[in-house]
Amino acid sequence: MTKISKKDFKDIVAGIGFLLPNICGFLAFIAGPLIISLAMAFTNWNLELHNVFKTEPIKFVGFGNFIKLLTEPDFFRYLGNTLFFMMGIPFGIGGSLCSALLLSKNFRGGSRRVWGMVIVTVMLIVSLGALVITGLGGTAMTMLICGLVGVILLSGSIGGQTIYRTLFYFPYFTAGVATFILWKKLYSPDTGPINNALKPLLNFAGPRLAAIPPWGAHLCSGILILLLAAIFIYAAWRKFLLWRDGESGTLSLLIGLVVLSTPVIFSCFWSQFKSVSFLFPALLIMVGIFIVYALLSGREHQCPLDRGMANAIVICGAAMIFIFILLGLSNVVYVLPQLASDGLEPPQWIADYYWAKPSLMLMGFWGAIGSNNMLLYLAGLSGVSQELYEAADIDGASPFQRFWHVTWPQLANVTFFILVMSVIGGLQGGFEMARTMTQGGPAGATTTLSYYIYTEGFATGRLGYASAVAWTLFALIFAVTAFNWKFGNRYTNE
Amino acid sequence: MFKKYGTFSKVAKLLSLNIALALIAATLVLPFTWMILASVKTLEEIGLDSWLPRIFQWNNYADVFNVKGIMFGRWYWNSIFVASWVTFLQVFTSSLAAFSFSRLKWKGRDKVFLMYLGTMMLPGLVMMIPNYQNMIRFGLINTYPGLILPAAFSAFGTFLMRQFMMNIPHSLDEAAEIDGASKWELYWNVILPLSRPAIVTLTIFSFMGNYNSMFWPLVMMKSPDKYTLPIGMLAFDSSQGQQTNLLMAAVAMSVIPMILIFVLMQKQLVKGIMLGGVKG
Amino acid sequence: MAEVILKNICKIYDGGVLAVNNVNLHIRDREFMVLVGPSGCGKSTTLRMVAGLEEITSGQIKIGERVINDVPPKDRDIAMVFQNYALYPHMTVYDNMAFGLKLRKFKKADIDKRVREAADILGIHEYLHRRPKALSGGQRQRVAVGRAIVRKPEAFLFDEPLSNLDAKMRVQMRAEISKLHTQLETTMIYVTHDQIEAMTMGDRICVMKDGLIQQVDDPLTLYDNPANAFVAGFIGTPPMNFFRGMIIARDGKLVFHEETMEIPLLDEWKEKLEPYIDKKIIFGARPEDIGSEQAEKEPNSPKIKAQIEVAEPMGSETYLYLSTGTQSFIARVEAHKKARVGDKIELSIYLPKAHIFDSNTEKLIV
Repeated sequence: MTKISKKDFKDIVAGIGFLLPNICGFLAFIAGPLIISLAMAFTNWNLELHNVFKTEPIKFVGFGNFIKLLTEPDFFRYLGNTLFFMMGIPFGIGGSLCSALLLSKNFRGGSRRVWGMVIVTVMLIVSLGALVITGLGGTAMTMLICGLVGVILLSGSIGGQTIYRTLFYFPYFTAGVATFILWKKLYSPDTGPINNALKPLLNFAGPRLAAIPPWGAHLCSGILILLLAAIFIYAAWRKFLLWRDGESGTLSLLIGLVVLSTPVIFSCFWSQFKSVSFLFPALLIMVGIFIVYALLSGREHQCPLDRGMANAIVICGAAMIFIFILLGLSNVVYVLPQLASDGLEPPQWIADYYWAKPSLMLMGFWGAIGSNNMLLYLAGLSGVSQELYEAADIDGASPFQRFWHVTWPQLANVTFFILVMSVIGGLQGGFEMARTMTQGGPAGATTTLSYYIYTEGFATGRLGYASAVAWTLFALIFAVTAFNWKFGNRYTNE
Repeated sequence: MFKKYGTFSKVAKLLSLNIALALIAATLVLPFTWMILASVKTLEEIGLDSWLPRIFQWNNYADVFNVKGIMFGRWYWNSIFVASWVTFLQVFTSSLAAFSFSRLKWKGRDKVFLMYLGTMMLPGLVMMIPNYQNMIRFGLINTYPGLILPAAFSAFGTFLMRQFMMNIPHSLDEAAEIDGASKWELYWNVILPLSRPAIVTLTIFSFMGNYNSMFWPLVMMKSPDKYTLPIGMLAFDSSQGQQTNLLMAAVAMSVIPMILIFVLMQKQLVKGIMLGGVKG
Repeated sequence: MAEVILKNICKIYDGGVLAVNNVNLHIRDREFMVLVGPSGCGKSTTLRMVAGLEEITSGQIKIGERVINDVPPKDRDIAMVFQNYALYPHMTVYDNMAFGLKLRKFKKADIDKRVREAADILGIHEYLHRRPKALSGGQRQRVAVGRAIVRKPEAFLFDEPLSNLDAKMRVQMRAEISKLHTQLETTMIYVTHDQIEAMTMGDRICVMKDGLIQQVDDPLTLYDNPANAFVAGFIGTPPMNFFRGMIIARDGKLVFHEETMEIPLLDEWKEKLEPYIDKKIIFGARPEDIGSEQAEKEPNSPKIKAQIEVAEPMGSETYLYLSTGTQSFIARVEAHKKARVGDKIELSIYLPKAHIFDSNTEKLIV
């Protein structure tokens, strides 16, 4: 400890002086409550037992709350819900990346005025054409949508990037109770516009789907499963190559494999997807062959066990989500003709146990396309040196190669930052949607951990237990942050 | 006309790009379009296929203020009142802290700052329950101060302002010191006016954040006349949820301040997001 | 108006770096003192200690009769002009100049009078209500000087004020600051890394290196009688040529000996050079003393043979970059002297103006 001189002391007093209001606030609203909440997590404080009428002393129950939380199914169920919602994160990030890529292009060509004229012309031709196709005097809806697109095209060609950026950003910055209520109405099963639009489509598709012979459905389902296997093998192979070249540690290889395998393992033990349980032995065999092959072929370079951990999580995680979706699709396709035989009904959206989560995720996607992430990506894109693109052009890169070898690596920093922030946000998220739209239902299908804490802490009054859940959530978030600290920099520098 | 702008394929590329952008934008805006159109329908027209009302019922907007038990105007005012106070306090405390963290040199400063940043990571949920109990104890339940005070300190705001203040040249401090400015005068006369872009950004962020905030007002505010807009909208939805047209009019009105702020302050906001997003 | 006295000043930074090493400097009343040296030599640190922006590790600084070690900058009665001007971007020129006075609670009328006075001196009247952003570099610099003037301090401190300006502007401002000094008759301390600035502006120049003062003298003394090889090399462009070699005694005469050249030395130097016989020394001669008319005229001038590697005609004169094979040097010759690259020529050295330095300590011998 260096000694503190008189001047240092004066400086510290000045420095702390400016911090004084913050320190007070910090103590009163963060540090204090934090300690209280930690203490509460170990008590049986329950408003039903301890209130003005019943003044039983609050008892210290040790790890009782945590044991209860880990042994009862509720916590894991809601954790599962939270993680399920978080599967939307890559799509949101992808969406915002796509919109940023589109926006970063020079879509105005040359001068404004002439372009405006071109676009107005095209707009008129398109909307006239639409009217002709639908038979003059077609539905007002067609005109409405044509008009909307036309107005946007026009204002876009006049206002340029700012207009599109604003429109893209619209859903995100208005997100809140108001837009949730709006979506609740959009999703309304009987009177909502979504189902209104779907009904004719489904009436059209229903009989045709029902006509598909069972073998056709099986074939489609089989193709999807093969696709799934292909993704699995591709991701595993990539990981193996990295491992062989010493770019990825053994531990991260194994974790990558575990992540890749989760969808199959999960669905084989989950009642909904029992029909694919035959995949389980296939998975075991595949992983077995893979490990044996890896052991036999050996590695060319050694490296620390945990090297490439972030890469493993990111790449395998993305593959995992696709596998999940393909798995679900193949199941749906498998039974589709059967379902369609009675005529297809539009889904009940947030009122349906199975549709509730995807509905909310869809809404989340709507808000995520033009979010802050898009703006971050736009900034990142403008930071990519033009010379790199020119060099890639001279090297003869195709547009896709240009993206994959220049843009994407240059954006790795931004992507990782966004991913970590989204994961941290996702773990704490879901409360507002659940409270506004579904009350956590149906049957707890949309109850996330944050909504769970709310119901336990503020509705049922089990303060001790709610605190324990909150602290467990905190531990999860801390783990993500620690992961970011440990592996984040290495990933972005690779 | 095309010749000036290159080959046909170039024009086609530009057109398709424009159309793609317009289609995405249209899809994203579609829910809002429905919202506006539904808000001027009669209740009977809501469930119909056609999005367009037969007659535009603009008086729906006025009717929102007259629904029994729905104090829409009052909630509007409450929201703006609370959000303004929170914003003012946040900007004040954050700029003070950021000044200390960026312009003053004192032993242990950076350690304290790291700790401060650490609180950004704490999930607010952990503190909610004890905070609520404390509010009960101090009788602040269902009061404005109870709503405003816990939100008046923002680690994010401090971070944002500090990032900005770090870029103000240090020689200005020295010039001010030689000019005879005390630390407070340096803060008030030099650094604060120069931080205007950051202040504007933080103002937008914190105003929008608090205008939209739901959890804390939901648990704190018990009587309808104290509701903020989000809580009011919840109450509206649960008590008069069948009146979709009025509800949509209310939704539309409640997002207006945000849209206004965004459109007016777009440039500052975008800059601010970059500033906050760049990892420090 | 006051003298500034630095007594045994040391500055040690937190990392243990010794930035200023036992500096003693007496700056006289109304003197224009220039601190010059390569970057990192401690000149700015010294100035900042005078200003009160850096703590003094040890030693004592006096302005006038006051010891100001623990006096905060605002009470030291000094004003400072910064390298990047440090104008408050959100204030007008007028407010920038008035800020220091406002903080000192001057009366409004008084402030106005002083600002206008300063604006008159500097010719910035028209810009008073503009923001610094709308001004050019030279104008900003003038405002920065103006901000210093209005305070009427006992001493002005300049911290490399011209280095952000373009070459032309720099020459102009150089003259203006010199003019200002005669006009205001105030003590000025001026820090620069540019030896031309130092030479043209300073009443006296203090050359620093590695935190140590090398020499304090008026410009011409510094040029003609540098205390050591560093000062000799630092002052003057192109720099002094150094030839490393030995002194040997031959036929009772002393000769500078090097593989490719031999220079018989002057007899007056004998006494001082005696101890260095058969030892390594550095022979120094300025470019203008090699091959110059004066040197060629002097019949006893020693000659060196060298090959021209580069010739730079400057118009008024020509710089020749020459090589003897082991030594490279520069000669400043008459502009129209015939010289082609690759030619071998013979040049005389004007000995009375040459110097000899100790090879180890680099101190001047003669």
